[in-house]
Amino acid sequence: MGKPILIRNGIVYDPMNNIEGEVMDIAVKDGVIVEDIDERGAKIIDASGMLVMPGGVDIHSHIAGSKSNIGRLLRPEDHRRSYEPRTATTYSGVGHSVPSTKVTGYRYARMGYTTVFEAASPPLKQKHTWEELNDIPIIDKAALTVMGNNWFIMDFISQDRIEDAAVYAAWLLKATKGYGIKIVNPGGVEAWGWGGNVFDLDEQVPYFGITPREIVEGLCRVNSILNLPHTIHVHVNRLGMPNNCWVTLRTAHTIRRAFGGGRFLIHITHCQFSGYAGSTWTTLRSGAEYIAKYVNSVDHVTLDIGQVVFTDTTTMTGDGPLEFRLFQSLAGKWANADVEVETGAGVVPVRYSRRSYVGTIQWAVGLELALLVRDPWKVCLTTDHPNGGPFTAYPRVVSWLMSSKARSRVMEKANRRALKYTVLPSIDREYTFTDIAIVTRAAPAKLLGLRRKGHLGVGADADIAIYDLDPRKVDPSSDYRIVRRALRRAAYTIKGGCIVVVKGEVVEDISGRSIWVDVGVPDDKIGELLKEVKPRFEEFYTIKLSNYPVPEDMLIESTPIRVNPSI
Amino acid sequence: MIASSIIEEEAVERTVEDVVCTFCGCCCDDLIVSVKGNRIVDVRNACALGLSKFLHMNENRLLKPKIGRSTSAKDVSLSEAVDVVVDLLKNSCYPLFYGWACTSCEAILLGLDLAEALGGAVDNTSIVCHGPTILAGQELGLITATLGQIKNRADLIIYWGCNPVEAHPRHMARYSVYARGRFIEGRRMRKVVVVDVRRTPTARVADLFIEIKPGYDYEVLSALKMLVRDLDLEVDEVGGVAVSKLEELADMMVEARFGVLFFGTGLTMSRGKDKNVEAAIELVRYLNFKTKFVLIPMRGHFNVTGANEVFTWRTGYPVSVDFSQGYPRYLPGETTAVDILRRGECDLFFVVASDPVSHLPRRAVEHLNNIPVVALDPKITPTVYISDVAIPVAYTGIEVEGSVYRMDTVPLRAKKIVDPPQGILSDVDVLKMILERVGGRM
Amino acid sequence: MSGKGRLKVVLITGRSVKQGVSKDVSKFFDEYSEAITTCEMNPADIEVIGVPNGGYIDIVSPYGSITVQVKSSSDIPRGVLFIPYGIAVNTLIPPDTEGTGIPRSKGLEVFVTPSNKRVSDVRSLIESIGGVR
Repeated sequence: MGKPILIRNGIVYDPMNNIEGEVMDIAVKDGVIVEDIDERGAKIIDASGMLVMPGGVDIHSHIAGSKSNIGRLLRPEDHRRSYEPRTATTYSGVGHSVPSTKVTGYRYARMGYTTVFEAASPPLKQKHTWEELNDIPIIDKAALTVMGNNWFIMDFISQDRIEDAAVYAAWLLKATKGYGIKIVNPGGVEAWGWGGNVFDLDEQVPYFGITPREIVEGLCRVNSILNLPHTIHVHVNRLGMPNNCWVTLRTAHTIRRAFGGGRFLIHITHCQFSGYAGSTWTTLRSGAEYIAKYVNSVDHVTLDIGQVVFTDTTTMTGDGPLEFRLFQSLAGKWANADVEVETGAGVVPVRYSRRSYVGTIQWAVGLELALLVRDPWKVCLTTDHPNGGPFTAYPRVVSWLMSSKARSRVMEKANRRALKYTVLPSIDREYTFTDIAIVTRAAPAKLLGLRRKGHLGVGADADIAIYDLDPRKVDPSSDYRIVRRALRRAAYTIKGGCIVVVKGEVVEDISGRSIWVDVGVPDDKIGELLKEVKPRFEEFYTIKLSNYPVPEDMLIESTPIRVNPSI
Repeated sequence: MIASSIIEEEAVERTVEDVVCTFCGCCCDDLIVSVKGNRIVDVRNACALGLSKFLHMNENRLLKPKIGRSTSAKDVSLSEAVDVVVDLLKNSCYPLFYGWACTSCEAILLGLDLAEALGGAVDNTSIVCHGPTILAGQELGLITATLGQIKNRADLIIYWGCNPVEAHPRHMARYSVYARGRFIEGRRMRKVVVVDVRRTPTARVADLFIEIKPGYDYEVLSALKMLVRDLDLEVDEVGGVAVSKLEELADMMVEARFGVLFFGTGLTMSRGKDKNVEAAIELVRYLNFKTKFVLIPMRGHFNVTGANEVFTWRTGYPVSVDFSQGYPRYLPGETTAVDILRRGECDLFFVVASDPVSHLPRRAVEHLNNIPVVALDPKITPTVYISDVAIPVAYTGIEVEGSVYRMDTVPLRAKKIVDPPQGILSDVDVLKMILERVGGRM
Repeated sequence: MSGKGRLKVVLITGRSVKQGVSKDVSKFFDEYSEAITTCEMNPADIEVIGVPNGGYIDIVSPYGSITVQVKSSSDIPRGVLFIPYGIAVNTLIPPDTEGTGIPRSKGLEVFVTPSNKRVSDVRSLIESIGGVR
């Protein structure tokens, strides 16, 4: 934790506490932000003329686990173009789009990010996810648990046993040290077990007597019963296919239709990939306007954008059939890895090109979503790392959001025909520093229910990013390159009260916390249900029930968040 | 058979259930181990291979650290042995760290730390069994599934160039041919095909056995690739197999609802190597346009799959990593253990949890005549026998717990069942001691 | 190419139950030595070489030679010799990996002839590698 720190005269953006560019001091002691400290013996950081924000929070990034490792294994060529030698303080590593564990942590920290959520982890392989997360330094991390194609969950929902589904989900989170409910192509990945897919909300999932609509509604109810800190986190059906924005809207709306709002919320993840209109790839159009219009009119939907960046990258998702379709059109490498009883996974390398019609549309859709949804608290910045591009591209994405000039520069070289079918050229909104602080810190922290993150109020974790950038002098609209450069290499990153990055270089290699949700469902309820489940569990799975849970001592700095469900 | 279940007359003091077997890549996790005092007296559910490992673990055991080769060897204390190892490592320019098949992921990670700290090379035993599977996977991508998908869904099971009856004795019962799952109720709902160069014991359970000429896997797979795409073969036989028989197999593949191709070292060790596996992957790719099909490599030793996983997440590469430039580099044929030994490049050979003296080509391991050899092992293996320093360690999954990966990359925690002999540490602890002394980060 | 007494065959190595069971007891015990120095061939081939079932043969490759016991098995096709993994057979295996990192342990062409030597001694094979004597 180190000694107390006083950050002096920084220009602070802390939207959760309504601080917009005030010059002020921030004091840190014992890993948290405090009112005041004794300056004697404290480390003083002179932040005058510098931008100070809470440490970045990434709500959705594929950084660890089986899928990420398949991506690494698949792409030696990706590693050879990007490597970092060992230094006196840091380990070596490789990887442009699928970085190895150590450099994943360093690269996030260098950008001022301090908390990252692994986006999808199958329970059966969650020990693997934790082993990799353990090896990722500096940042705090958590993992969302995939449940949308889980046989037991689907069976309980189809039998109208919602409370049992909730108890089972609570056990899954406890057993896997997961953070929330992730739904990937509900029902579609189960159908992929037979080589099929499910394309719309009311299609039947083969042999399960259930539809994606019932899965999403059921898990939303489970989420609410369990009082989980995050909403359901949904990767919708038909993702990555033309004309899918309607499925996205129907998925979002089914929550409102079924529950009429209140605590029933939904997070649509990497929305760009499910924001297309136009019935074929050649007639692909942006569907961002339709989605933004809906999101603006309701208050139960949030999204992260899943921005596409023009680069060579690696797509990876639990949505097995999607990756097969991608392979069909690209005919390059394709890895598939079904997970019994739970989900699937696929990995396909791609290159997003600005000259390509589809690539340009995809690029525009992400930015349109971010710019057309009026309330930045409903938006999180992601590239769905590494699907839309590696997370190291965030500073570029920020510059596009803050500067229409930066966007125009890209559009000059982009596919002309595609631009005709997007509204991006006519959007002149530019994000402010407050907006950026919201979509990269405050909003994700709030949506994830992380009370001590995403802000700089007293009692918050001392996760702080300081950038060598004077917001009073730099006009991001014209000087977007300066912004980009500053965000790439934080002047200081402080994680849990420890200075880990100085001038863009890692100076301290520490380990972060492992955050998970401990749902307070009574043990006898779980025990009773497991007694019923065990014979079927051991018939369907190939491991014993007792060997399924992740023991807590596997986690480095295990940090459970206790929640009290209404069971 | 050497191993047989020994039921003791006296009462067993305690039993440990759901134990993960430490022999092969099946990592069966349903073993029931009976313990009396600190001694394993019975193992239920294990196959002959697993049973033998558990019951004979204390035979021919290395109990004291030793310095010096074979007859001139003398017993020393752990700290003396570590001193000598540290000295050797510090004087080495290019150490090669090899093995890692029968230990935990925690130990493997420390091996990578050591290699990085010293600028050496590090390789695992998969390079000489399923290395070509990795090469092919890097070229095309594996199309795979966990074994439960097979148990629940597969109606066509193909074993190609592998012999589970002898190498993975419970594979067919637990995961494939005889297993009962949600959609498949057992043997009668599945078809079984065996392809091999000899009539193995596995071939006896097959509905269709195809015997091919040794070294002709690539040709036969290529022919099947054509047949499943409805192309005609203008020959009567390929690789010693009548085309009519291949047509029969192609039809079975296309008609399956869920097919799986299990393949073994028959593909990876014979002529063509990675190209054979590439042909298999391409075949499965074509099949996925018509039905559902996956392939699964029959990984051999206990946690060899875990070694690949750990190497990959830490360095980006699953095997054969060289740190001599300060960052991970990987080049098959250059940074691979057999080639480094064959060319005599390494000046120290550090072996953990494997026996390269027995299992690498003699012409490659002859280099060990010239350089110091350090070995960490529970037993007196041939490698331990010829090593200059050997340090005894506890059995992972019997005497210490640890993380391991099954052949289909399902992670498991291997258990501690009994205490190691007095004074014997885990390889994790020994590696930590060494790493600390050579200036590695902890 | 191969007259009476000398036969060119394709060498296949692999796991056998006996090798797998005995290797984890001790590689210095007789069961293991026996397992890895016993090969299987088709009876017709054994007859061509002119040794009895259970007799001894020399196997010669460009990289070395070993003496093993031969057992007849009709499951082995003609022209093939099967022998379990181990230090004995690795005397024969080429160290070159053809750029893959893995030697060709299956499908190597070797010559077999009747032998009047004793079966290769595992311990001396080990010691000669380690420079122990």
